[in-house]
Amino acid sequence: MHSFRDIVFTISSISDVSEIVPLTVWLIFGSKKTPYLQLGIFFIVCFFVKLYTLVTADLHENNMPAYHLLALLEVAAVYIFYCQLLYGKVFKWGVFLLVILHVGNALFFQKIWTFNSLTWTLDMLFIITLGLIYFYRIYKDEDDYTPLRGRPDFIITVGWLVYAAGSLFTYLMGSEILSGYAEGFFKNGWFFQTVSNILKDIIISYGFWLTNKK
Amino acid sequence: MSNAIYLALGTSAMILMMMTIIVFVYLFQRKLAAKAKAYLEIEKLMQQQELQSAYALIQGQEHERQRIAAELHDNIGGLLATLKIYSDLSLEKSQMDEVQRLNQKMNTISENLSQEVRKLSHQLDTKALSGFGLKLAIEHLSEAINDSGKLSVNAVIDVQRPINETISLNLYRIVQELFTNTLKHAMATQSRIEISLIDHEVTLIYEDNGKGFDSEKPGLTGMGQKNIQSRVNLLGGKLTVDSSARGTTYIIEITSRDE
Repeated sequence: MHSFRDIVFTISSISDVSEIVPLTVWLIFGSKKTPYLQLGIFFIVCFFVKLYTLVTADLHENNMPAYHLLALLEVAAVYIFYCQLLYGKVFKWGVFLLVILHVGNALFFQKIWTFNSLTWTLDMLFIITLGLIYFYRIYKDEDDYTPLRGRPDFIITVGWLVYAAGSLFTYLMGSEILSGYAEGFFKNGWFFQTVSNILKDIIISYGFWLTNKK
Repeated sequence: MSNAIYLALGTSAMILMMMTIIVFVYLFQRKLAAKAKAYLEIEKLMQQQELQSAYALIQGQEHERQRIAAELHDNIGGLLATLKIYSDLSLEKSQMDEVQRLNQKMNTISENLSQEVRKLSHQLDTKALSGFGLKLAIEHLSEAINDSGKLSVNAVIDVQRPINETISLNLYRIVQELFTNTLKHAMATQSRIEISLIDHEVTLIYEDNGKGFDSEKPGLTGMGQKNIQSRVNLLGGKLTVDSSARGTTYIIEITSRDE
């Protein structure tokens, strides 16, 4: 009989490769125009980084630098996506601040060989804020009355919000989770991160598919 | 922290986000429904107004027919009856100067008759449908919109001569489209319409105090705007649009060649 730990481990492994779904949908059906182009490219890079973490984890190698990189790539991709969506341009100083934050954390707070729970937590809060700003903007927009089901941006935002809400708590408690014994790691909050990541990938895949019908 | 607390906190975070998304979807759908209802009301108003205009037009034609019938009966009919009496008398008389006197009378009546027919014909021509139709229709439309309480309309229609029927019809449709745009999108409280005919130039100036739109930005121009542009093109006219956050002004200039 499978233990809860086995189930979580399986879901976690699926989560690590689930980026293949939005990536494939984007390559086949998705719009290759801004802002979806940048998001599609992010999923390609993300897939390979996660594949690397999966392989290195299997080899029992410390792959934490990959998570530092992944956190920066993810938050930058989401930031660029919403900048282009809401303002039609990317504010470069924002990207610069994100780089400073992640590099600063890796150098001075949570070293490169440890899990960067602090930046992941801030990233999730930032993604939630961006998603809610997007909601506010489309609600206040008096010119565009496209139904929500016809808005790929809305679907993609739902994906990011579900993911960020599911991951926030995990990352918030990340240090404690990871500092615990292995049994504790698999039995607690990490489960939410993996499930929300799979949900995000499925929802964003649908969003990418809709971009072609827009 | 115990596993139960981890589970509770993680689940709560996700449920809270799900609820936020559901509440947003509900509010957005409610906003869409409210807008759809407002659109429907405007469409109904426009449709009702179109029917009223058509009815007013038919009523106008009916009145004109009655007036022509009365004119024919009372005036021309009377003159013809007098002419017949003089003609009968002339046939009965044998004295030459009496016949000549009656002929003189018949000549005068014929002249009067001719003048009356010419006058009636001229009145019919100047009161052609295109002449009073446009002014009347736009005045009725403005009145209906004023009565609806959604927009205060000030209409100044200075058209002294009949305008070509194609131009009249297209101008009326353009005005309908302009009002619809203002009602649906501009969130304006006031609008002003001015139509003038000087020499052969028909000028339509339409203004509202709405929120305006970016007339330079592609993609923002909706179907209504395209309809206006295509109607102006059809008439070989010129359309100038100036929009800012304080309102929108449309100027349409058309040359009326065959009045």
